[in-house]
Amino acid sequence: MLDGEENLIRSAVKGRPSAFGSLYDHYQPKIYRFVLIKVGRREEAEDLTHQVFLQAWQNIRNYQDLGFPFSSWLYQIARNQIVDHYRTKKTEADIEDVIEELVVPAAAQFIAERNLELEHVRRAIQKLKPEHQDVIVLRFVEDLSIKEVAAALQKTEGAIKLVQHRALKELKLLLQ
Amino acid sequence: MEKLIETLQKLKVIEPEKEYTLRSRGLIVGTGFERRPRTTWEVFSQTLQFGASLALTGLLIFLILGGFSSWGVFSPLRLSSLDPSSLRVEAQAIDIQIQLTNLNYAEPAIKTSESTQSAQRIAPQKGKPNEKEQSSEKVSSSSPSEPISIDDALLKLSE
Repeated sequence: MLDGEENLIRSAVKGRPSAFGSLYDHYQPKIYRFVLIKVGRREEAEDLTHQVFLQAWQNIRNYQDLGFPFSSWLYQIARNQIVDHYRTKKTEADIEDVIEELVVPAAAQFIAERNLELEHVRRAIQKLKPEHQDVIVLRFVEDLSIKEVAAALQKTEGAIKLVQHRALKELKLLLQ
Repeated sequence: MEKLIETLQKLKVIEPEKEYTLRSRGLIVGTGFERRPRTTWEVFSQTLQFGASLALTGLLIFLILGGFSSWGVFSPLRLSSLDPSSLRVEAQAIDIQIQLTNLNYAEPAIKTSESTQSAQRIAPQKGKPNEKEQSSEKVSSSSPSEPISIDDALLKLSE
């Protein structure tokens, strides 16, 4: 959590761009990472991340502090953006086909920057169900607590624990 | 399992490009903040503002289109000079009398005197001038700058 986050959020809700800019600086890399792991393409991840923060800024007046971290609100917007993105891109296509399609060009970009092992893991994550992907990324890449993940995904903590268990098991199998 | 989690945590190295971040941040923060009313009071005050602005606009259009006619009807300071009926009565009362008293025959008179002068230069040897010449002399004798009426002028010419 960012230092003085509550004050920043209050200022941003009042419409102060500098306050929202500070929130952007802190959370943008996390949202970008979350989106990139899920969509696979850098350009798409950039566009979607931009849309997430744009939407957040335009709707920040409606933000209500319900005791959950601000990031959970951003992750919710990001998830909705990704779902909309796939829906508008190929309405009739099967989600698995889309993922397979995205993996190929993403690999070339990612390998150039990172090592093969990470790319291998990322591709394995992409093969998981969207809900499992979310839990894996939020829990183990972004280090959110079970409670925070539950808030971001709008599920109970028990459901998150169950999904986490299944997702890890499935991912292990995929990597083997 | 622990190894898998360690590998997953390595994905933290993924970061956006700085150039993209700067561009995106600038665009978002530069975008106007959308103000929507939340409380009943805000809704009421916004409606009031909108209604007031609409009424003022209507009044302005009425004043522009109504112009002087509405001013004449509603104004306590009635300007008589701008009242069209009184102006009409006043115009009908004017007696238009154009008098041609200042008709100036200077130009034809000068021409006549020039012709008589040339005739006189030749005539002294011949003797007495005839009546026509005398009459023309009479015409020319009257000062060209002296104003005469058109009736007198016609009478003299007929003679």
